[in-house]
Amino acid sequence: MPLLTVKGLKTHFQTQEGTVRAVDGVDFTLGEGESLGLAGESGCGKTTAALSIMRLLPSNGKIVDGTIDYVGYDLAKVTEGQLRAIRWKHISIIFQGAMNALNPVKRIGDQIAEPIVIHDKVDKEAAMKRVGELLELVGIHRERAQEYPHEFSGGMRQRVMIAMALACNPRIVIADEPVTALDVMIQAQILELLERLKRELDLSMILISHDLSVMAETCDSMAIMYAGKIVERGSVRDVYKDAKHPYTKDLIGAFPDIEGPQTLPAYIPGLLPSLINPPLGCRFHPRCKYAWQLCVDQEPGLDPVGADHFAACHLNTTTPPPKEAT
Amino acid sequence: MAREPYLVLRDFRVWFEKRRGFFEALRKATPEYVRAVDGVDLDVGRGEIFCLVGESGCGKTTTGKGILQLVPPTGGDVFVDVPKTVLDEYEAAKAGTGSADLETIRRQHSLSWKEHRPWTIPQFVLLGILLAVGTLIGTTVPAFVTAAVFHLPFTDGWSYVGYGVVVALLVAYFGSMPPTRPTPRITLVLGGLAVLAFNLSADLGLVFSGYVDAGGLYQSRIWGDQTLAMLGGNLLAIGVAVFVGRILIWNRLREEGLEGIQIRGLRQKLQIIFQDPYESLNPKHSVYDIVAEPLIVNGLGRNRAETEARVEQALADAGLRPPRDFLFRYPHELSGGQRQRVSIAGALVLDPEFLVADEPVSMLDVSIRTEILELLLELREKKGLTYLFITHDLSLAWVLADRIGVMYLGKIVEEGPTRELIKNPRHPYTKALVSVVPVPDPDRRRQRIILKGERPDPSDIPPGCRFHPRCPVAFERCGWIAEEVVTELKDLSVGTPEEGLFAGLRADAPGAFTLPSAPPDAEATIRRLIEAKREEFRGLKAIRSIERADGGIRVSLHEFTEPELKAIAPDVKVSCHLFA
Repeated sequence: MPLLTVKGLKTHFQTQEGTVRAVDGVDFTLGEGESLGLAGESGCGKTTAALSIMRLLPSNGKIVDGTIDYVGYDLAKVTEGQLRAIRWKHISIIFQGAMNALNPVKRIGDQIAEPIVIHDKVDKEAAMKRVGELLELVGIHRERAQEYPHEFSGGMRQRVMIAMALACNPRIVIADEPVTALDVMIQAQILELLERLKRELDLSMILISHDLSVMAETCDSMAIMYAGKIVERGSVRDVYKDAKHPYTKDLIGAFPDIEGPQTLPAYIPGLLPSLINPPLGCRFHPRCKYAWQLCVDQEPGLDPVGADHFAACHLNTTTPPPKEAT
Repeated sequence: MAREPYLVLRDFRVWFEKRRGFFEALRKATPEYVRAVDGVDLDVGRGEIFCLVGESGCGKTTTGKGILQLVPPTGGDVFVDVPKTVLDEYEAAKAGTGSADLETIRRQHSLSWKEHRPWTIPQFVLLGILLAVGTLIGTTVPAFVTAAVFHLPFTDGWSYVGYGVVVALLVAYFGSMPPTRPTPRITLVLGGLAVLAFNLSADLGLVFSGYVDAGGLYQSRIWGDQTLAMLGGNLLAIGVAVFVGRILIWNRLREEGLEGIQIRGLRQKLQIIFQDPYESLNPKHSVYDIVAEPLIVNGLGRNRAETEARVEQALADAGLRPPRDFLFRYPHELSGGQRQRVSIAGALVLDPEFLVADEPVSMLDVSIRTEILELLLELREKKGLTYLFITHDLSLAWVLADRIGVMYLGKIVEEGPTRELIKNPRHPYTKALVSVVPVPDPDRRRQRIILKGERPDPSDIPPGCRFHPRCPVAFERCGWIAEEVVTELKDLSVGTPEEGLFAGLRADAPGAFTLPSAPPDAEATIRRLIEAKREEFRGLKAIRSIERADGGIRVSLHEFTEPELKAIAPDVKVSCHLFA
């Protein structure tokens, strides 16, 4: 029984240029204790999908269709009041950019205590005690609760953000690019911390990142997004070892591998499509080396290609016509 | 090294002075520095891609900028495209065996050489007295002469102005002759002296000519009537003295060969590609403006047609084809990859030989990174460029570099050919860094060495080996000081019965600490703890002896040294005591 089920989620933004279909029909599930990786390049809609779950979209963004089922509640439709009871207490988020996500003029202890006071209805003193525990949990000395964000390094601020997300004992934590802009060594420290916390606190996690090599080491299953859609979803092993979508293959191939050959990785020619006016048919077809007429005419569905492994590509259901000699 | 050296750094340093308040500056004679780059030795061969890797704040970008003099280097030498014989002479002179004079070689060839002879306080006092006496004599004589010959006061305000110019010329001429040192700053002193001399001699002239008595000087009619003329004279005196003084000092610098190498001409050969194409391009300039700017600044491109041709060529070289389509676009109309290509075109337009590429792909999406990297490789083939590629991403260095240098806290800790450095890292820091690089394959989980803590503050660099506080294999000689060992003892005793005992530990010298009042069994306790914990708390390894002294315990530590970057295998240099 999955904890969180997202079905047909569509989130659109109204802008001067037109409607940006940032998330355009996304399905995924998150099981109890699972960690799901949501990967894709910048602008593919992965952060928007996460913010939609929390309903923290900016004012011009709106969930236009789909359901987000969390233990019987449809988060896309529940009232703001019900949502408030779920936010942070059940689902919390580690925001992108630890450098800027903290309030620079408030002590970090007070910032972490804020959701505790609001959600758990306890007094300040009890909240501060909890803050001390949380800080030690993430490897910060409890006395540093009295300090301001500028007194912390980047890695330490990320730890504070993690402590803040854990403040109300949530069941699901969404980590939005938790290690981007951190050094490799600090990155390894933070990932290790997240893994330990997930184990110890029995969390379910959605990890959002553009860095597939980070996901390979930390997630159980993953979904690859391209231009507002999920193109492939499955266990980490299936996606890496037995990718069924050309984009997944190309994206994995674009990462240099320190244990692989000493040659430049391949790249995907072309540009990311506009989300205001996405290509017809399969959204990846202008950059795809296998594309044929069907890919322009008809949009592929996310079809099962193995046990708990889905891919949205015509190659898996239809045989392409023989390539004309060029 | 197989390749002929193109860029050679020796003991290269870039320090930034910490800002101090006025009173702080008075209290402390020596300023504190952030030692961003602190003694880097580097050899980049012609046509090579040298990757400088390290964590943020290790000084890799500052090194790149320092080479191009975009930040002023503090010390050390930068040689660009210098013949091998000169480098050999330099090394010999440095070792004290060569025949050539070290300063002469540095002046003739090192980009970062500066005429630098520090002033001592007696010199300063002497110069002050000399100048004051000189000015006194210099002003009384003309005062007498002008009073006797021209019968001061001048009747005409313009005479004061002319007089100011004459005095300034005299001061500038005599002031910039030896023994005055030829430094640009001295011209400001000359300006001040000219004003002093002008006013003093004019006033003295008034007194000696009997026009006013000394007491009534400042009530004199002259100042009242001809204030404007006097002010004009003052202004001209400053201007002329500074201007003429500067020309004379430049002349002296050139004649005495003290100006070092002019970076201006060389900059055409040395270019940089910045990290973030979203920040580094001026949004109000078109692509043409951006790429043509270096040509205009350097006075190349004699006419519009030629400039345009060179800009188009550079854009085409950078892979923006056809270039005409891009000339009049603005940065916001371009994608990230195209912007970075514009940035590259801006660097290429001057036909450089050497490019510093400062994380050129870290802001780009993964799927287009390789396109930019391929372009850089292609340019190397076509134009024989040499790269200093700065990156934090070891896996990128792996696929791109010929050689890699690993930096930690302003110093290179290991340097070698790419394959050797990645497959067989020797320095503990390199080992850890290589081990934490994520691999895009869930089946290959690697044994990660995660270092504890974060890099120290570069304004407070640990003594000895600067990596020792985080090093998983640090030992006696690595640079432990009493303070660190005391902290480790206190840390390990938290929550144990020894916590109270160790609270009294005092570090009273860098190499020793004491426990003033210790119970009889304290010595044994400490020995036991050290034995049990020394693998985990590496600082305990530095303890040399524990002895009773004055009712307390005195613990002394081993001596330490800073490891040098030494060749330990063909073409591999490591700075670590493990390899000494």
